[in-house]
Amino acid sequence: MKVLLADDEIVVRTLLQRTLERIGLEVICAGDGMDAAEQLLDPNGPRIAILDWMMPRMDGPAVCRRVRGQAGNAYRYLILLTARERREDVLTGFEAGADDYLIKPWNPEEIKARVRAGQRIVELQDKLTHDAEHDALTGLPNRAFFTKRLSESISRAESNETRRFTVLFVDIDRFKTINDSLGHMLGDEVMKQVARRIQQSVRQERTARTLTDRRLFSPPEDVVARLGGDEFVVLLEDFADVNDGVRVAKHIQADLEAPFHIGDHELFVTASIGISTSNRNSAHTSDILRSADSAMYMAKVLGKDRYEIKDPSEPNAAPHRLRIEHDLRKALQHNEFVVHYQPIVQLSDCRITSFEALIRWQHQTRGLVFPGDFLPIADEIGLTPQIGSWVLKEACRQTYMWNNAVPDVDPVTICVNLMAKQFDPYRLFAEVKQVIQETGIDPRTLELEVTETLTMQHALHADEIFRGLSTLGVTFSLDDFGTGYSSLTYLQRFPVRKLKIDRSFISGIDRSPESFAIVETIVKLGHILGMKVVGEGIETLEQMNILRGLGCDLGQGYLFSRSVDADRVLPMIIDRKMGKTLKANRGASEFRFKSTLPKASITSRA
Amino acid sequence: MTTKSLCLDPGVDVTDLLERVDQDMDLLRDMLDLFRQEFPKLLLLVQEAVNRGDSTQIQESAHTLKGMLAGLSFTRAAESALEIERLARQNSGKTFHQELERLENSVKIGQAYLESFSR
Repeated sequence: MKVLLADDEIVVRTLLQRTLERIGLEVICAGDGMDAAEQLLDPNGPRIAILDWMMPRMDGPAVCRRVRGQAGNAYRYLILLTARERREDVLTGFEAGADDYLIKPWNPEEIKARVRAGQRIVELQDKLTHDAEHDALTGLPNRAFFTKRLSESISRAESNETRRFTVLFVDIDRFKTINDSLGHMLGDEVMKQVARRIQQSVRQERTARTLTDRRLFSPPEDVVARLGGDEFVVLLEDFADVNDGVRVAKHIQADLEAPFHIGDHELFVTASIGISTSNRNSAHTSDILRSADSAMYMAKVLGKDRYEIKDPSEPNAAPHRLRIEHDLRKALQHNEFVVHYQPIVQLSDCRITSFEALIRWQHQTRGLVFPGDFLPIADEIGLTPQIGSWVLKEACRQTYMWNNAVPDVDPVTICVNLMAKQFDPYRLFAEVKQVIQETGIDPRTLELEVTETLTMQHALHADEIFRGLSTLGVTFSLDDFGTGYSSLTYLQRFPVRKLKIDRSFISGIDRSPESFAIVETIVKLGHILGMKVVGEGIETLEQMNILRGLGCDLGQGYLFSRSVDADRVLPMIIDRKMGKTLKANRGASEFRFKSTLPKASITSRA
Repeated sequence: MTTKSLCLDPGVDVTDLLERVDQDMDLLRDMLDLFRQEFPKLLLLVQEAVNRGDSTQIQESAHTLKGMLAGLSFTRAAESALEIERLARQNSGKTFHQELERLENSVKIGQAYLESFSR
């Protein structure tokens, strides 16, 4: 490791230099502060420096301040050398950015020890930086590193149109099959070997190009990065012709053709590759990754194991849908779904009785995605049974945990929505039974919500499902009630415990006499049939008071609480056990608890 | 002149110096050679500043000189350099020449001692 030694006095500097060289360090000297700062600001400059306090042109603390003021370089470990009687300056030195200090005349063992400590810190710093920018499995650069390098390439291309580059988006075809059939351990091994082969192909192409390239400047190094899962990206610097990108893509595909020998298995892997080259219209340069991504999806759609080319200036609308499809397939595998919970309260006293489980998708780049934005697509590509099963299991697992942690005479119930493709009498019965066994949930605390429309459209199935699962102790509620066409015969026959009045009626209840009349009728109907009635989407105190007046039993909506993540449920259950109830809170996103009070005391908050 | 005949305190902390050069006599000799070349230059800088009455320059040069002397464990001479630095800070020009003379003498004695020692 290189160490910079900055002191204007040659005897001291030489003696220190010889001391440090004895422990195998490469020592570079500077005779003044300005020279020291220049060397330290050089990206390839020394990582450790010993700086004399008083130097011509710039003193040691000023050098420290200058170095700390420059962002982007790897960390520099700075040791200030100060005279014994100036020990009080040590604090000033630290404030200027020094990491350590040495007092003149120095003890050679101490100086060696302090430089070694600096070496350890620099090495640790390098490791942290490396780990933050590299993929732990393959050792390749990760998304963060790639994004940084891509931004640099984009800036170069925008300021100089001759500095063009190409991006390849490489996605391994059907990798999930390998993981599912051979397990993640072997899948990881395949991924490591795939990474090595891609890297090797890119290196060979670069070497071949360098041999024929007669230009004077050498471009920055190419980057092969793993974005996550089975996605890789390649940044080819100074590859301005799309044919260059095609040649690299073909090379990668050819190198992946040879079988992979993992344990006793011989595996074959193919890749779909999207290619995009920065063009002379720099306005679109920043779209290049999205463009390569879209091209890769086109390659997938057109049959996989092929490459497609896309110009960054072409519109990107169509592949958005493909992207969601692709990401959805991976979301289950990568545990990207989460369950949020919205409390349902007794309208008489706002005490929580149950929670509705609501799925969310924690997308890597898009953040929290709501079900309306992905469930219809998931349904079309046949993923809803898997997603539905996952939600059921996760909600039951957590409910068991909560009720176990806070035992109560009336434990909270979890309401889980069933999706159309889960509505199969044989599969659903077996699945629910298995979830009950695996999670340990008391089946009486599991309520399955089915929409009115789904129930009536598949009335025969519904009857079979409801009766079968009722034998396990599970209960049912009809969701979005009032929006479909219900048969009163079926309603009377089905073992349904609750009707959930659709939010569209609740939102108009205080303004529209028709909504009021419909809600009033549903409440009466539910009670006649021996069911409890839930008002959904309650947002105002007026709506709650009207529902109470109509004798509606339960309520759910922002007035009480938005849906919350799992971590926030247990405190709510603890408060419930302590006799606290959710306080109606007009338009607020935060729920509050208060001690149980008579009805009249629930008032509007400003 | 050697320490044996002088019977004087050489004003050099030899133990400290030997530790600093890692008991390496070759390195010690190299450092003394370098010192022989550099010391007169630095001393001249201080003397010129004193003659000009430039207290800032006296402080800076004396400080550098003190670092060099302390680095080679010329303890007594380093004290004189520190005293000159302090006098310059206090802007009292009276005793510079006396202190400079003391410094020069201390260096002569120390140097002679070290040269005989390192031979």
